[in-house]
Amino acid sequence: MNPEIFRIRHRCAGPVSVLFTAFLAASLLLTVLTVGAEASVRMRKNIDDLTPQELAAYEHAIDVMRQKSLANKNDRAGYLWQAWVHNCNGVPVPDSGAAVPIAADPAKNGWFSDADAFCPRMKAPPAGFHTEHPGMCEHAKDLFLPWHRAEFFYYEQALRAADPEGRTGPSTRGVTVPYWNFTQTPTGVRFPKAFENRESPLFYPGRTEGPLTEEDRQRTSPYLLAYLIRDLKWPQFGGYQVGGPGNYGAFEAMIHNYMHDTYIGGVLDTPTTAGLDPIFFSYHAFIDYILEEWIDSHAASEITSPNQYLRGQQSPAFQSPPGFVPGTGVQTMGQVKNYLDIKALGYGFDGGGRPQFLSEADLTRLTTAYDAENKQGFGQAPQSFFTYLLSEGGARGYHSGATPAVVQSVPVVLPSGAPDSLAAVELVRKPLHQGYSYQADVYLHPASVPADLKDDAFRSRYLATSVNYWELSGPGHDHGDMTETRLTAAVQQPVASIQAGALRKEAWMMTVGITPAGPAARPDDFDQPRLTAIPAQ
Amino acid sequence: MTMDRPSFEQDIRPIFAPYVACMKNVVLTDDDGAAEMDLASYDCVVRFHQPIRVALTGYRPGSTAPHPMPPGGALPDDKIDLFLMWVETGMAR
Repeated sequence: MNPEIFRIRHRCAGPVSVLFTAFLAASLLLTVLTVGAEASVRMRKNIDDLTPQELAAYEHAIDVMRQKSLANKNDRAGYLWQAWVHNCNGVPVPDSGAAVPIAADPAKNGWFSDADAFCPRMKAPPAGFHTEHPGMCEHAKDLFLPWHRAEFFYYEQALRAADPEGRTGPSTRGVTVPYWNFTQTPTGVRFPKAFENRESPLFYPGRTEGPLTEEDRQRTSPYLLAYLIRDLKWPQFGGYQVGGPGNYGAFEAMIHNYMHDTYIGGVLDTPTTAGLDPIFFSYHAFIDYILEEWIDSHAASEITSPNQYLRGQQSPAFQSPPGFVPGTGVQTMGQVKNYLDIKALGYGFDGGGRPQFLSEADLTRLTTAYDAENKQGFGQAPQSFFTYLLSEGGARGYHSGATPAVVQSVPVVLPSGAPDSLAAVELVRKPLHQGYSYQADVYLHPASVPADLKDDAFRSRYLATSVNYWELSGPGHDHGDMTETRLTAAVQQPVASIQAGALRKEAWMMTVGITPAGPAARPDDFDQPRLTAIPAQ
Repeated sequence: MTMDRPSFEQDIRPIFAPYVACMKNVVLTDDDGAAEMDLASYDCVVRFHQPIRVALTGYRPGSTAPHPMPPGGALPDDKIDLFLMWVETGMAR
């Protein structure tokens, strides 16, 4: 047997990496000199690194944007419109252009009432009004990361335009969106301190409270994130083209959705309301940093659908991205290809003098240790590689906080491992009147080993992957009616590891534990899971 | 229609008629730009026939559509097949 077959990752080695390192050092030096020469590049900082003055300017910018929306909910430079850009298909706007003032809700720390803020259900506008289309976020496809970058390009302009002269507070001229690196220990109880200050406009009620759970820590493992960034090609990492072989990329399914649903919670558990809480923007600012880290590790040219236009209607007073060419018809935020060079877009990321991501070398140390400890391959080692990533190489195992409402076990035939295909599990939830988000833990185990999801040892050894489905229902999105949902998650590495190991001739089972966000799940909500092969691209 | 060449006006527009008003709120994009989804418009349906095809077949086993259409559940198979045949036979007006 070729030992390379079951090694869990492919790594660079030898003279090529030495040359690459030298090239990288030279490039970094050049980059520093270039950025230093370009004062127009604004740096996004870790929110915990902001000076008191910088934090005050950011808070002031948000407060002014909030006041703009209170004066006219349809002001495109206001906070509410920018929140709607994330997921509000259509709003009625007076033909006269008259302002539509709304009142602050004292129970919401001065934020808008739900009645004013939630996107109205889609219907024809009343007489004297027409429909405008703030935007519709892209999820479960390759547009997910570029679309959110476009959203932020305009949101930052709204921040800077809030009070550039500093008439009512600190100048907002230089404000950028500070990012929240959720893979680092929070400076507050659960979030960065700035978001836990109840007097600040950064505070929005309803978020999950209390210290981190074990599962929160696992889902925010810097090793898991580094593995996804360094090892996964574009479609597996960033998502598939519409009509392609998959939908969610691994980052969106494994980390992004869990963060929305569970770690942060509150209004972030639904796309139609997520942008109402300012923590959304700092959370996604780090995701934009993650996209940039992926581009640095791979190549922007691998990103698919470069010519696709991105939905969103912004103020004509805002600058368009470099290379912007208006498309036909309804106003957009430009094309994917306009958003692949952040220096050209005028911003960068300031790591604050410390690494914000684990390096290739860090990850190699972890996987080398895993390889050394677990020669037998998947199913024989005490921890699967996925569990190992979640536990950062420690021995804690997989202590999932999930309490599955639905558990399904099916016999599976391992896909043949053709070079142009990936093994994947497919989960289909039947059409329901009331949708819900859920987590699915997928276990592969010999048929001779009974599935015991309450047993830590079972969960740690046989966990193949864990994914989240983020419910896309709600007013203004997907109609809030019955739809079938389908989640496809790659399990190529565990399957390849089984096929290369001593247990390959065993009969294998797949067991899926599904934990809903809320009490609505029933055992017959889901079809039987399938282990299948999907095209690699 | 002839059995082997359906037309938009006679065969496809009636299928989409109940969803026209609702879907005008949805903006779709492609490599040329963006438009409100007008299911009563031949030109619009031709332009976005690919995402419509993906959405209409989104309830079928093996589909990967993130937003299957229409709301409320799948169209009957014969209507989906009619739309697919209309696409395959050149999308006659």
